Amino acid sequence: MNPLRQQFEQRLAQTGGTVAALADLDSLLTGRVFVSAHPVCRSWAARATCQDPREADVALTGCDAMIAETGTVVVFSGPVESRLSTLTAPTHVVLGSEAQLSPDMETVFERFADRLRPGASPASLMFITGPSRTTDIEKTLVLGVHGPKKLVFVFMEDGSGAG
Amino acid sequence: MMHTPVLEEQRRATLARALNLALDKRRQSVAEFPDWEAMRQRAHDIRAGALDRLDEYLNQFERAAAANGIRVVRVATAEEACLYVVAIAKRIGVTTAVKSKSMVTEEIHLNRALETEGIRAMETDLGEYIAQLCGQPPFHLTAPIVHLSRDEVGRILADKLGVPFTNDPTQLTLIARDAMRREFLTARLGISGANFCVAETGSLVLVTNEGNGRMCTTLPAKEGPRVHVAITGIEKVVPALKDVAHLLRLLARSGSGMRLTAYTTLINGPRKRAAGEETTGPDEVHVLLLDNGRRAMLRDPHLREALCCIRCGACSNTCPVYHRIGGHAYQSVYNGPIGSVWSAALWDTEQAATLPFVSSLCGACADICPVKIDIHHALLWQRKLAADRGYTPRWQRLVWWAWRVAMSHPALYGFGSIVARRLFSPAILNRLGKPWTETRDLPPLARKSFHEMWKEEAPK
Repeated sequence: MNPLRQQFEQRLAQTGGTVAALADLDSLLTGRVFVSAHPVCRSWAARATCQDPREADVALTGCDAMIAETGTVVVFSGPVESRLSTLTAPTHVVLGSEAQLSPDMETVFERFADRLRPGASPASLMFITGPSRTTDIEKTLVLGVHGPKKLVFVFMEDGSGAG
Repeated sequence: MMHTPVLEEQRRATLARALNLALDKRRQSVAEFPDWEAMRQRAHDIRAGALDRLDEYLNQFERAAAANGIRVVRVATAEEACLYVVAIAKRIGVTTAVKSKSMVTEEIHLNRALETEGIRAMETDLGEYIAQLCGQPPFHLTAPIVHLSRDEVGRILADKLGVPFTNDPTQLTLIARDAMRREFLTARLGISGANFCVAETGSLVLVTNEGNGRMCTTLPAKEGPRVHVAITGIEKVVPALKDVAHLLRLLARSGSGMRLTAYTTLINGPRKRAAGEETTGPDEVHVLLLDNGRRAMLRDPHLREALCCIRCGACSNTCPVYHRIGGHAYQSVYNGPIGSVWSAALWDTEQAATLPFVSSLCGACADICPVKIDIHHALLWQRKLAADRGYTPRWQRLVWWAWRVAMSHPALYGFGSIVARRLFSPAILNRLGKPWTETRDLPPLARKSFHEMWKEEAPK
């Protein structure tokens, strides 16, 4: 397996997120499903049963990059709505491909330097590391406060190939 | 001088468990980096370097943020900052604001200022929300209700929200989530702090674990103008995004032992409104850059470094005094070791100026600080400032004055030592040492001074 992918999957799992195989994506889309207009989600557009991410049980979105060091999903705001669809549904399923992996946050900033110039940058750049969490009550971990309780990442490529 | 109460046994145990857990998790996550010490030094250099050229970076940030459509306003005092936020609330006609956790808004008592004008500011960090419900100030920089047991939290929610009692943290979180979700979906004024301001790109960096920071800055309301106001100190500016990446690596690990906070968000400006662009996000973003005493800290070479603080809370977690007395005993918005430095620097009151005495000066805070602030030496310096300003008792100043005279005149010291050994029998010493000597004896004074022994026994 691609070593960056391996690190990403392992560290995402440590944050409480999960990785699912593309073949299992179908079974994740249950209840009120919101599907983002992101091109990567096009094949699942017909599965949408809900047009407003505020009311969805499951939101399927794409992403702009992933960070292996921290198991982080990076999403830019833009013409395809992403600020709510990655936040309000109890389950967030993210689609991405291996080519989007960066070793660390520095590399992401370098890769997207052009899109981050003053005046050209998206309103928001989100680094999502696992499900929404709190340990405010007696340091007990509780997932799903204001953001998703479940974060599932799905690679477009099957990971068994030699990387 | 203030007298600091010690926490009752049970609460101290709750607190110690939580603080020690945070320390354990930090230790594990730091162990991932064999070069952690070098990383701390680099973090220090980034922050100190930014402070060395503060005005240059602030100007650069202001220009870049303006290019992104952010309105940047410099405010000198707490009052000015509060007036600005009140004016926005009135202009857009809201009576409720949603707030992401921010120490600077605590510093300027923004909630009180808004309430006076009939505007309710709702805290949305779970801990802050519960603290606000029971009318308490935050107990800890990053863990506002670390001192409350699950039973206490359960009773607070049952009392204030009229829900059935439960002490299950998951259920309690869900109850608070539902109460807040309703507010989020209609709120039009979001208030936050900022963890960093990036000069290079004009970005604000905001970290939260719960997602409330994203809610407060996205403002999903469907109608009416929506405004995000971020209030932060002028010291939060860093030169470039690569610096943010490095500092974040240390921030989350030091505070909670995580590799990265669940939600780290760069806010670059309001929603891009041109056709086919962004559909969610606020219509306006305002950033208030607050001085409120920070420039005075910058001018004092002993306190300047304290401005490097990235508010991770690790120094409180490790502080033996904080473990004993807890956050509320400091009676200040900023508590714990670095909080004492900040309080004494920002507020010229007896209460704040004498907080540097609430420390054993053991230096555990400086050892753990991810940006290597020499916290205990700053505290020592502030003890001098407090004495200079007359905040220490007269007898204490007199004793130290006598000590200084004696120490700088060997003959006088020698004479004093002879007199003291004659005069102070163990019984008298123990009487002088009360209440410390109620359960123990002070060691008796030696019969001979070191000088006398040296004269007799030193090899010729």
